[in-house]
Amino acid sequence: MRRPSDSWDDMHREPPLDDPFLTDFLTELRSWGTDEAPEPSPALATLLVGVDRVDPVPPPARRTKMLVSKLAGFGIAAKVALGVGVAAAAVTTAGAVGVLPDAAQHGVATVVNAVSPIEIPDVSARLGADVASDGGLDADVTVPPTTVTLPAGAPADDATDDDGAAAPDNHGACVSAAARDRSLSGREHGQAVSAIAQSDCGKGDEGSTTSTTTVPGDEAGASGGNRGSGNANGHANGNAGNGNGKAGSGKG
Amino acid sequence: MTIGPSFDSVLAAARTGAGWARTRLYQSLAPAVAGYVRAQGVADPSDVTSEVFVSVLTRLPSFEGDEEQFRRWVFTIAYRRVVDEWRSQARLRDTSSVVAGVGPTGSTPSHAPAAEDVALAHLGRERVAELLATLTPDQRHVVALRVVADLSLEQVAELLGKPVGAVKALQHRALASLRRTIEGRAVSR
Repeated sequence: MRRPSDSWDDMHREPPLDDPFLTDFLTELRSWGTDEAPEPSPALATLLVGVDRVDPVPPPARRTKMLVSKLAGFGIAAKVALGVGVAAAAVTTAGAVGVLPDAAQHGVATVVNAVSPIEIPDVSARLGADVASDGGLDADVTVPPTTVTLPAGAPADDATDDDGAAAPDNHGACVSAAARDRSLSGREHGQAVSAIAQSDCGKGDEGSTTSTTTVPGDEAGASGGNRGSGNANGHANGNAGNGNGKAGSGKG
Repeated sequence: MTIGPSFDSVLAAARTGAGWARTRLYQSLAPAVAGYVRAQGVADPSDVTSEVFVSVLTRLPSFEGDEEQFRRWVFTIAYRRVVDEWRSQARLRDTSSVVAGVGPTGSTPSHAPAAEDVALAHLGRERVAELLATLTPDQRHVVALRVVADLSLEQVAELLGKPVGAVKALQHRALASLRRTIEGRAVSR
């Protein structure tokens, strides 16, 4: 019988020719080392991933490219829907900050105030009257002066600073007090609060607990003149009434 | 599967934690390690192979050497892990965890195949495992490290901590034993 060799080369390349089963055995055993790598355990998988596991934040350019790629993959209908959505969001945002044309502002305010708890300014409410279909905001609308009695504890003497300009905090407190006042209700209450918000909120009647306001318009000049005496620096609320008020002061 | 000339750069990258390099090292040696572990009759070769490479990757910063030395180093870890597994199995005395009857004792499995089954033209994996089970643990280590891991006599001797002559003797006796088993079964057919 042939003796087995002492090296793998002899063992593998020169197997005993009279022993095909031993040759098969060694061939089969050798194939065990050439299989696919086994599935790594979770612990090993974590190590294999290494530092590549940390996905760095993509730079802006890459993110932009990814966004463009994603948009390119959308269908036409999806792109149209996305565009409408973006436009609607933009209009809504503009409406929320009140920079839309008045007619558009009214439309946005009507819709948003109806379907959401968010309150955005409405020009019709600000005017305190329905906007005439033909005149819109340019219509010569006069709202009767609304008298709002401020609560006794309202800090009316803080409503103006030394130069007569309304302090923002006091203005807010004034409007807030008007909003809390329940002497009026419903639409009238809203109009009153809106009017207070548009006014200088007691600036002309320093120390008084009652402020009488009129809506901006043709009468605003006179009103502003009354309220704006001695105001050479303009007002923080900066509406058209202030300009008229200055003119009124000049005339006075 | 060997990595070749790029081994040094792959190893350096793997040391820094690069996933691609670690995966490359794993793919180059995991099949052979799994085959070696399976040849030792470990119950769950895939799990033990993963444990071996967890140890390899954890200790990677301490390794210095070329690809051949890396191969020997990895199989040294695998050998020790297999020995630990055998001890653990012995403590549990759960012979059912030994795959295909291959165990650390080197005893012939109780369900030894009939001669006609062994004498097939092509030996399947189970038949090979059953034949391996007839060897002693040292013989099985030597055969698997030489055939599956493709290590030289000197490397196996260093790995097992035995003289090269002793490894040669173990290999000789292992092959003789296998031949006797195969021929005896063939004759008895």
